[in-house]
Amino acid sequence: MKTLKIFLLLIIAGYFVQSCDKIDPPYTKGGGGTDTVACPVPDFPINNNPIRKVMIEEFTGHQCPNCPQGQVKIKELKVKYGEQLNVVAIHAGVFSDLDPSHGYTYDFRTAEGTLINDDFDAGNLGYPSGMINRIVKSAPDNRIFSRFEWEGAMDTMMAVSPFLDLQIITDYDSASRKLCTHVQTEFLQDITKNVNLVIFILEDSIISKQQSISSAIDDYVHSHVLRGTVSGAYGKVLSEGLVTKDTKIIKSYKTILPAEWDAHHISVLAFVYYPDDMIILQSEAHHIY
Amino acid sequence: MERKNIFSPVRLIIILLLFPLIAGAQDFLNKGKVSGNFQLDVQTYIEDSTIGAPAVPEKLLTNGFANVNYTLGSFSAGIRYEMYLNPILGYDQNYKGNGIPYWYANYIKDDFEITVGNFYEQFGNGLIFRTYEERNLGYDNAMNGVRVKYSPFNGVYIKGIIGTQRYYWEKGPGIVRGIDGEVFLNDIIKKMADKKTNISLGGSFVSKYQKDDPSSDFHLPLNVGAWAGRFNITRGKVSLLAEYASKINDPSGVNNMIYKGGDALLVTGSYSQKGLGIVLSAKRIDNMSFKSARNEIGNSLDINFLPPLSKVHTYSLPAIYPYATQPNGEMGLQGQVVYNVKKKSKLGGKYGMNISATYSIVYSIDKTMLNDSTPIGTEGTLGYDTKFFSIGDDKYFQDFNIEVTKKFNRKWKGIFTYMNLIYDIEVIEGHVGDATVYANIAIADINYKITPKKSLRLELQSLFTKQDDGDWFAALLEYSIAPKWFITAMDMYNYGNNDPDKRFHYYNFSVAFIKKTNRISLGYGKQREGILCVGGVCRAVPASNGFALTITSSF
Repeated sequence: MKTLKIFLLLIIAGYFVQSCDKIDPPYTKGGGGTDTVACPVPDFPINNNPIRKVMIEEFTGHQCPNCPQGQVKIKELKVKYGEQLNVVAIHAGVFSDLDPSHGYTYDFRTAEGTLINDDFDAGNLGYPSGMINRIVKSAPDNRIFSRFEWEGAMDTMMAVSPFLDLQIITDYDSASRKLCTHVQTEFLQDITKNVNLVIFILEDSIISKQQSISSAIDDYVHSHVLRGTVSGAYGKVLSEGLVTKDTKIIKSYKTILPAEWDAHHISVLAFVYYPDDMIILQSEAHHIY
Repeated sequence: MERKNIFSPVRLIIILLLFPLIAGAQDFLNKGKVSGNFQLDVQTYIEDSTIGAPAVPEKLLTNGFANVNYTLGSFSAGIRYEMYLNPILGYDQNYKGNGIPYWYANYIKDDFEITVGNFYEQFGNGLIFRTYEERNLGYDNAMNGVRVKYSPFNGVYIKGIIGTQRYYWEKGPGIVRGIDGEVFLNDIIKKMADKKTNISLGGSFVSKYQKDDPSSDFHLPLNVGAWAGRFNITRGKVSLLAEYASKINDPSGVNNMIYKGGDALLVTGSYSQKGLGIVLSAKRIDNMSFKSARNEIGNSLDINFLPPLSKVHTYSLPAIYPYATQPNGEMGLQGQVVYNVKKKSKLGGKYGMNISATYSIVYSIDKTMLNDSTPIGTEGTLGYDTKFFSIGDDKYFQDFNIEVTKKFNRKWKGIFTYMNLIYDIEVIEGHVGDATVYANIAIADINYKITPKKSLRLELQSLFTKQDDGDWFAALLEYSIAPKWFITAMDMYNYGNNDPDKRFHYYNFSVAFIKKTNRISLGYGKQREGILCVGGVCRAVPASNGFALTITSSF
């Protein structure tokens, strides 16, 4: 009996000792964060013709039968709006779970994507769904549009003049897989509210199984997939309080791309928003190759 | 923070329903014991721009609480009601509101003791786990969860805890799990049963879990573990206790997101015989803030407690400069000698004399850069290098004080104190750019017994310093009619302030009435702006001017 008690106590103690997560370097995500030493700031060209760009965050999943139709709609909209439309596909929710027994082995999920999916309750309307610049669709705070509503929401926004202009310059070293991302934000008018800057890293052309209405497609091409962020899901403060017209702010970041990402299909999507109401003001995308 | 109300009426109803089931309805009513206590503090505020007392829109602020405990045999349960309408200035505004933040049920059965709900607990000296409440600070890091105590054999004691911590009216975001074991060798080893040397050994492990923060720039450890080992040896007049604790990477708001592990060592040796007591203590703390929320930097959600090595001063002028523990790194020593001079000796006179001397000193720890280009404490790095016994260049605190207590005759008694203080106000209070305070303080506390029930007490204090607010003088006169009435008048005068316009008087008058377990006191006066520390944990005290009413009661 005494031995049994000691044995049980050792098991409990052993369990506790395992409750530790030792983190190995690098401690910062992407191996860097803001770093103008590793990533010297370049000169940005002057943009005399800034245009409003609208961003759609599409919520999708590889086990979601209707989601390929969402991609079809996105392709139509890209044809219609061209560079004025920026797209990110966020794989989150139950349809993004892995199911190895049915061949869904590729994990498209990211912690940041799941956070955004949960914070905005993206699954409430069913997948695929999307947010258009995170504008409010209906009170009090529903921002999720079905794919049938995307175009209508975008039409009204494309014509508005931009408040800010974004430019992105990247420098990628294939040997070290170091990616330097420089984002210049130019204030096209006085802005008094705080502004945050977010940088997503996207990957195109990932071939993996996708469910559809008729049957599963084994070699489906996944586009605009959110792979990670440089500055967190909700980014960092770019400016606080009044910033006057013509001010330019440059942020530089160093990131080490994980080996499993195909750098030839990587792009950077930067956007700025008001943290008090979450509305996205402007966005810009840039392929690193 | 997780927005859940700590108090659920449903829980209370379940507990209340369980009482009669457990105990039987008759026993519940007849054999149970109910006890509790109550306190109400009411403070009025008058704007006083001269001393910096702000205007308070409510004019009157109130803190109050009541504990109600029920005991029946080995079962006990209780609740605490708290009210802050609105919190008295200096208490955290997050306390605003009222409700029942604390409830528990506890029973003891054979070798087990089970507690559910809220509880306070400590492992060893608290280096990796201590939850407690300190009302003067508005400090309460109570656990909300389950505690199991178990003694498998005589001389072996095990405690296990799991839960979340109180965060004002909410719960903190982290889950705290821990286990502690203590073994008394004299009880479990037959050969040692009759030995004069008593030895106990203890060990504990605590781990916190907090979910990832995807918006963070950092790879965060979700589970952070800390362990500690300790011993306590006593033999006759001598005792030695020591505890060492270590913690793995725990980037947090307090340590500026560095990934270095932390550790702490506390050693205390003591010698006591009739008329003489000597205590020597030493400690080292390196990066040992341990909270159940990464971004919390205030006085909440502490999992551990880092005991201070400095004497707590109750007189008002030494209390101007209290020491606050520096969790990011400090090394301290303290020596204390208490000596009773015998009665009828040359020095002791007819009634004897007590002499107590304490010396405390606290330094920074030596930190060196990881490499030539990374400043000490850079976020997202290991922060710095340090050697375990290397002392830093900065002296944070030094206190030498000697206190003599002497009874002259049946009517006259006095306590005389001298204190020499060095106080790094920039580090301890965060007054950037302010010079370290060098102060000398002298205090005479004289008690005159007029009749067996009536007495008069006079306190005279003087603080001399060239730094901070300069010299102070304080006087207090207290007239008491035991055991019911206490009437006090006091003034603290900052006559040496370098700015002649700030040479204020802070006067206070109060009357207290005590009847059995009830006490009521009413006062009026001015409070200087400063900090208040208990056990090295501090809060800011804003200046105020107004009436204060306190009612305490217990049953």
